[in-house]
Amino acid sequence: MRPLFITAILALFTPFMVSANDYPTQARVEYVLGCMDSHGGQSYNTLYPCVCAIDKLAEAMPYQAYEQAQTLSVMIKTPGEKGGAFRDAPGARKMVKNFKQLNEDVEKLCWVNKPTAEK
Amino acid sequence: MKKLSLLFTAMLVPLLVAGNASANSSVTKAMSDSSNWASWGGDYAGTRYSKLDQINAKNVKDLQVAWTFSTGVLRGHEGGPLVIGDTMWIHTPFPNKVFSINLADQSINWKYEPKQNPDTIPVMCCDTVYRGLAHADNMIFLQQADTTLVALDAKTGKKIWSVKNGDPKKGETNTQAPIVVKDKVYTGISGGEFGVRGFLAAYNIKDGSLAWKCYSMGPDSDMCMNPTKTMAWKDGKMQPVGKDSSLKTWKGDQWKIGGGTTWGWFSYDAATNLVYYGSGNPSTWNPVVRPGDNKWSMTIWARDADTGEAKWVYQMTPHDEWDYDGVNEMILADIKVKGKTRKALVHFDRNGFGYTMDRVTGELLVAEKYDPAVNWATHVDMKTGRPQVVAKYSTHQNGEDVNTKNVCPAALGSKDQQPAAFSPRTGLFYVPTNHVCMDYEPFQVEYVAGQPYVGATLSMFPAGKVTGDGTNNLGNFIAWDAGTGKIKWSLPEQFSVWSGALATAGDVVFYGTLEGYLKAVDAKTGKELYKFKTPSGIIGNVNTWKYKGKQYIGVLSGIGGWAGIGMAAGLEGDTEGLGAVGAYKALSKHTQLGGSLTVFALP
Repeated sequence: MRPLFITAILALFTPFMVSANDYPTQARVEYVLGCMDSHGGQSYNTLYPCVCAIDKLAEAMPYQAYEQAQTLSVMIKTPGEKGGAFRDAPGARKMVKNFKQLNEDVEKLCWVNKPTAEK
Repeated sequence: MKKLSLLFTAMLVPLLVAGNASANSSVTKAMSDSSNWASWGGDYAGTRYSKLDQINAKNVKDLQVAWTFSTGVLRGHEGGPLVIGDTMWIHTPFPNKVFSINLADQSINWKYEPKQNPDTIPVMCCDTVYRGLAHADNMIFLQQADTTLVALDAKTGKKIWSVKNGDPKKGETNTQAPIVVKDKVYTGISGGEFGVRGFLAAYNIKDGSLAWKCYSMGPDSDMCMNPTKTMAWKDGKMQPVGKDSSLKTWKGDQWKIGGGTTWGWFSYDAATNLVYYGSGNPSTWNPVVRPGDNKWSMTIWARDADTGEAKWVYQMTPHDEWDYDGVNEMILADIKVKGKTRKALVHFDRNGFGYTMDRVTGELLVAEKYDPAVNWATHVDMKTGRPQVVAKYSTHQNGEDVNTKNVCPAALGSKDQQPAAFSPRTGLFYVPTNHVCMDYEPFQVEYVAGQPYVGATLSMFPAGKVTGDGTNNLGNFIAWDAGTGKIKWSLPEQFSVWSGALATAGDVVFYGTLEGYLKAVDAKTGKELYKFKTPSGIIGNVNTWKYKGKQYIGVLSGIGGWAGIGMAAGLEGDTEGLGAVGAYKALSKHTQLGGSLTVFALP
């Protein structure tokens, strides 16, 4: 975990706050289901690492910031002119890059990508 | 005598047929019942207002998700479903599937999936969106991306007829929702970035044959313009446009690839028998190479629904230099302007001005900025009807290969296609907006059919960077008084608001956000009353209907990415630029993915 760069990612959209560990149940369940789905389906083998990952994310950044980083990560891929505002906004690309890094870090920390027998 | 009466009978027959067609207004009937949501705007006037009031400002906080439906299609989901009686019809982005849903148990009555050449995708400028269906005479009208217009049997989903409305090889595609008036279905064309010449086409609903096609520019006959009868605002009054009103405003035959495409929404007023819509930007984006006003791009059109003849036109942005397409919706409402009730047409243009016109005569009544950040023009001169362009923001005056900085709004406009709503109870318009500015640099390009013909480099940022007010939000949701041209209240949104609004008799206004929230606000004050996070960002329009005594609110979400998966599933493939749909192929095994319709009701 590198809480340092979280300040950097959030500079554009929200001032950095101490994480309130304030993720709604819906957000946690959505994350875990999506995470399990993309790592071999529903089983305890995928449940535990995915739960670990969302817990770490919630410790690392407040929900509002997570929501913004996630929205921007999607919107920045909007093709053509429509995506311009998201790609060009100051710090936007960096925010997305850092958010991706944070995700990769928690995944590594929680063994989300560990090899499993079932495929 | 005998001969005469025979002649008379012969003349009467076609009259009767036409009479039948107009009397057979299944559309008007469906719209008059507020349990239905029978067209994109709820009604012909495009007000997006519902008389339903079971959900109101007091109880909206208790809304719950009643059911959801996944379309299984990725990419941006614009528009919203139609509801008539116990049936709902849902459309999707490319490949433009249609689902008929039984409201009793949300089971699928039928599904239609057209086979379209994927070569269409790269020529669609801005995602593979589709904004909706039309319903009339037990038929569903589907306007496919590859320009095929299809009539389906509303009960069975069987194809009745189809017709080609354009050619994707030349860059012609379709994204907009058709409408039906009397015996005709109206559709437009997309592809201004490819040098396509825009038009409005009317097809006969009984067999799909072309009734007429009227272009946005060119000779008078191409535009269905009558030089002595088609009127335009000049020197403070309506005057005939005169001969060759378009040709005179183009260099040589540039009008042939002149743009002015028609990919927005269409409205209709039975009292004037006029169809209202806007034409888009002139091609190319580089203004230096196309001197003149480029008429009639960037224009509000009023056409006779039967003949297509233009009754009046108003060009909002003569000689566009910023890509401020004029295609946004035309909302027809009777409102007070300077103390007098007017049959008005209200239009929130991409150029940042909110226009109030007399929809009968075409007179310009009000033109004011609906985002204070707008700076490319100081104001609209009410005598000439022309925007007063600020020299330093003129990409033409600055010239090719010069970067014109800090122009507000950005090319996407203070508002894009996402339609506003009007409540006759408050007299206010509820407008989803962008709050974004840009740097714009035109450059020289050669035209090649089927290739992008853009000729400008753009860079965009929050408007707060230009206004210097310390804000960094990319959008606002505003309430607008179209009689005075003033903002009543404004809610800042972190991201641009790309969802269509809904106003109801319960004095609640609904809209969606890119984070995925459906929000309900008080129609009078703008106070937030309810929000719920749907599975993905919302660029669809919020609709409402009533089934078995219960009012429902529905909205499509889906912006191409997936909230639950986020960055973890390797979605970071580079999809910038034009037509990058393939990057999402890997997700096809996740059957649950795709746009979702989320439906809300009170417990």
